[in-house]
Amino acid sequence: MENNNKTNTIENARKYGTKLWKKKVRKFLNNKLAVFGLSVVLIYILLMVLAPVVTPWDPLEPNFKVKLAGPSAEHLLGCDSLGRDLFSRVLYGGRTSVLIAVISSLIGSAIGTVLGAIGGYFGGIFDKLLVRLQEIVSCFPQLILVLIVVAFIGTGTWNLIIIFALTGWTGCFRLVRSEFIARKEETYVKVCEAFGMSSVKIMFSQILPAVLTTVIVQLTMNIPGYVMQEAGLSFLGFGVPMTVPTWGTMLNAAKATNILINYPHCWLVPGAAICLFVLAVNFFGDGLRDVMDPRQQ
Amino acid sequence: MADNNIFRLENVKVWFPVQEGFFKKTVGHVKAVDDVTINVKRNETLGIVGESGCGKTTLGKAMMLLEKITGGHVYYNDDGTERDITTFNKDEVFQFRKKVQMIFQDPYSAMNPMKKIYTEMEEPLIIHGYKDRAEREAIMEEALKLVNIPVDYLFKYPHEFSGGQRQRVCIARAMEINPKVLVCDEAVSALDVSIQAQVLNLMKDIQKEKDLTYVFIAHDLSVVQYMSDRILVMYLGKAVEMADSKELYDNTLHPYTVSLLSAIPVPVIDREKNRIILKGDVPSPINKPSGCPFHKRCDKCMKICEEVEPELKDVDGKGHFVACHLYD
Repeated sequence: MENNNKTNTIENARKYGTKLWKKKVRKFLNNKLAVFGLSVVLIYILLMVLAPVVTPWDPLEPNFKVKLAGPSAEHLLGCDSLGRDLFSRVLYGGRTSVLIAVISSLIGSAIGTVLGAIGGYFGGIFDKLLVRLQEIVSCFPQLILVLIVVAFIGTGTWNLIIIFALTGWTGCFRLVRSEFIARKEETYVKVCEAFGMSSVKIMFSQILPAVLTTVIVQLTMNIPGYVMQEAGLSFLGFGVPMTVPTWGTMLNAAKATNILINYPHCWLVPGAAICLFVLAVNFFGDGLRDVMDPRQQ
Repeated sequence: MADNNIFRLENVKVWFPVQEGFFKKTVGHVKAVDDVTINVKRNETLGIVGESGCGKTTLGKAMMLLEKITGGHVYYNDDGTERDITTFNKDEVFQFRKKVQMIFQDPYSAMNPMKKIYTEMEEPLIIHGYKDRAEREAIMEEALKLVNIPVDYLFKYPHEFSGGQRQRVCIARAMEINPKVLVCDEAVSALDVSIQAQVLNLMKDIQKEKDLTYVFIAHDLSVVQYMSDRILVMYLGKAVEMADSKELYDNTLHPYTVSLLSAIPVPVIDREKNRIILKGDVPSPINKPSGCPFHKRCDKCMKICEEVEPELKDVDGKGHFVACHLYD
């Protein structure tokens, strides 16, 4: 073996090196539930993006002739109390719901990661302040915060995103902070110190990549939570305005007793859409964690 | 004579505060390294031995500036002038890092599991200003050749290596930037015996080739004997005996060293062994006994030992240092 390698060059070796991501993809594809989750999420996204092509109906245009009509060839999933096509509303509404969830989760995780990294790595008084801040934020009831913001600046998609992001960074902060505290004591960090690497470089090029996989998993797992919260808040009338179709506002539109009892498709459709999406993202997130978690290799 | 020392430690102390209660009041100190005065000669291997918790590793880390030095001075002499590393500024520390490198005990955790060996070995070179990729790769190739690792291993992950291979990669990584001193902190104790020999011989070869100075920290006495020119014995943060390797084994002076050496297993059946088993435990490094730190377990304890702490003295004028009242 040693003899063969004498002729080998670094260039040659690069070609045959271990490709860890290939292994990871294979491992992920072996997990049937995760693949199912990913496919469902992709179908959702595809349908939402191609909504104008998939359905001819305008989600906002009422048509009282087909008010509360059941599913038919023309209206695949039926119509709501104002005669708006439910399939179209699920797709357009999904755009807003998923957008809110994804953006809030991204912003929240970003804030949490940066603060957690700084707090965990440097420690000291700044870390203590951050931990207290995190405790205050996570103790504060989100609903009241939503009410306050709605009272001052009204309902809106971005208002919701801001509230979700500002209250949602704490989980990520705790996670990243504890990871940093554990990992900064690792020998390989000491090795980098011994080589004279700067602390910022150690933080971002040595520790963060390892932590990031956990963050990405956490981020994915947060998305269904935000979809549910958006639905809940919109159902109560504190989320996005009723004029914007989301899965939550659709449920809200179906809350009259008459509709609940006699026209179940009005609430079943958005309910099922939420259910399936949340389930799919959770399966995907689980699969992702199994693949990404460095402890499981 | 002084010019011959690459390192000179003067009354070096490394104390860790013990904090208690809500307000983190400091109630005492763990005196991991307490008042150690030694020297490391150029191109020699200084072995440091002692039982667990006696401050060997801390002393090594202090010499690397990886541990904050509480008191005393560490003089480093690379180019003929002695400079105190405890007063180095950021830039000087960076230059110092180029010259003094460390091999860590556990090769399994000394490499980032997320990174390929290539990245792992490239990083130090980038830090130290090798901007050209071809140049970096040439250096990496040479360093790997030094430790007998084929280049195609560069694109593998640490978990694909065995312990011995990893330790050799660690040595290669430390050697890349051409250090003058290598502090080996239990560099072979995590490896099994056959690989230990392999790595030790490799290290000896490298030392000859590159004119290195080793500070070789270990608890395995036979390994230290094999590697070292001089040996320092530590007990409870103190230097108790320091002498040439042969002199230390042939003419052991300090009672602690005597009992330590009697613990080396000898591969001869039926040989009468005069094994000295120490009474009691190592005292806590927080509340050290008065006088000689070893007096509570020493079978030759005298009255003076309980009161006066012995100093490390050159007893034969030829560099056999011992800290014991028996030889006053």
